[in-house]
Amino acid sequence: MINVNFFRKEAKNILPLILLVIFLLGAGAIAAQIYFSRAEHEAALKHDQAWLDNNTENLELSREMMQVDQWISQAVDVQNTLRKDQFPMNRLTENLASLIPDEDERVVSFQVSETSEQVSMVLVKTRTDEALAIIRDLEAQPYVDKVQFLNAEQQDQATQEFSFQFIIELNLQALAEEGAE
Amino acid sequence: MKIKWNRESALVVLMAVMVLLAMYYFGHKNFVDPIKAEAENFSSTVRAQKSLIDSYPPSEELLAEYIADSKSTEDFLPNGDQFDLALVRLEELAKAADVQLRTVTRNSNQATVAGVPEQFVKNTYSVQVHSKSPSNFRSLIDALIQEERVWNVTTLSYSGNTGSYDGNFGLEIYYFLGGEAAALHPAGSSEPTD
Repeated sequence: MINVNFFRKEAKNILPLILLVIFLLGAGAIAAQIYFSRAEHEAALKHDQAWLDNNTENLELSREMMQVDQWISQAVDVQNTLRKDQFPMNRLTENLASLIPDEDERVVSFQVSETSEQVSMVLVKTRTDEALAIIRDLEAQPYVDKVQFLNAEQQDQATQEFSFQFIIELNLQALAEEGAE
Repeated sequence: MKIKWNRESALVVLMAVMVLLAMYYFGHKNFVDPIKAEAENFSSTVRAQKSLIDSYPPSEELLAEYIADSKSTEDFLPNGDQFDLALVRLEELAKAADVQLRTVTRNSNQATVAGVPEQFVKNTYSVQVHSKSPSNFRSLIDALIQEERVWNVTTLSYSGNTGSYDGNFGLEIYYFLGGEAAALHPAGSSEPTD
């Protein structure tokens, strides 16, 4: 027997519909998430911008204060560095002069230079034993590396006086350390 | 109503998921990330400026104080070489030490100084002097070294005989090239103009 029911409906497949709805919901959620997160960052940006606009003058002032403050501290640092690196010419020349008795009589030429680290000196009216004593005294100084003898010339036979020329090699580090003490 | 899965619907689901992922990825990359980076950048700027304001509370009075302080550093590191003042001082000290100044010659200008920031520079001068005794030269140099402004005497030579010595010394003086604090903000030092 054939049983045909013309009114029976074929059950409809709703899977495509469900998938479409899920897809649209998902797409909407993503779009919303993107929109809100962009809006949030934009708001933060605008807020910061407004803060900067409102504080321009204050910032300008603070920046100037910082600049001047930096200049001051820098100037103090630089001054300390310069003071530390200053060549102790006063101490060196006083010390050397104190080692030469009757300096005014004897020293006819004196040269010192920081770059060459040398002192060159010409003594006159000096007997050899006096010259030897002077050289020994000089060599005993911690800031003197070596005394080089260059030349001796007899000046006066009666008094046995010579003129002497010599170079003192300096040890600038020892000189600076002596100053630091 | 029924739900009927088949191979096509599975493929469609897979594709839809991929489309959603792509939407998320490119949406963030193109619409969120640039503005996020900008906002972060800006907020770090603002943070830095806030800390600046915290450490230097803005006030005209305080700025004026700082500027006044900076004037005190000008005694030892003036703005510009100000050699006129230095020369006057040198002459005073020379007179006190009984030394005659013969010539003062500038040998170098705005030379860099080792070990300090580059806006601090030095001039070198050579000074010819005459005196009765070398000890006068030494007291002049000692007086120069005792000055608040750093005078670096790098060379000294003299020659002569009892009662008359000619000397020559090399001097370095230092100064600041950076610009004047008061010029930064005229209101700090003078009446503001409308």
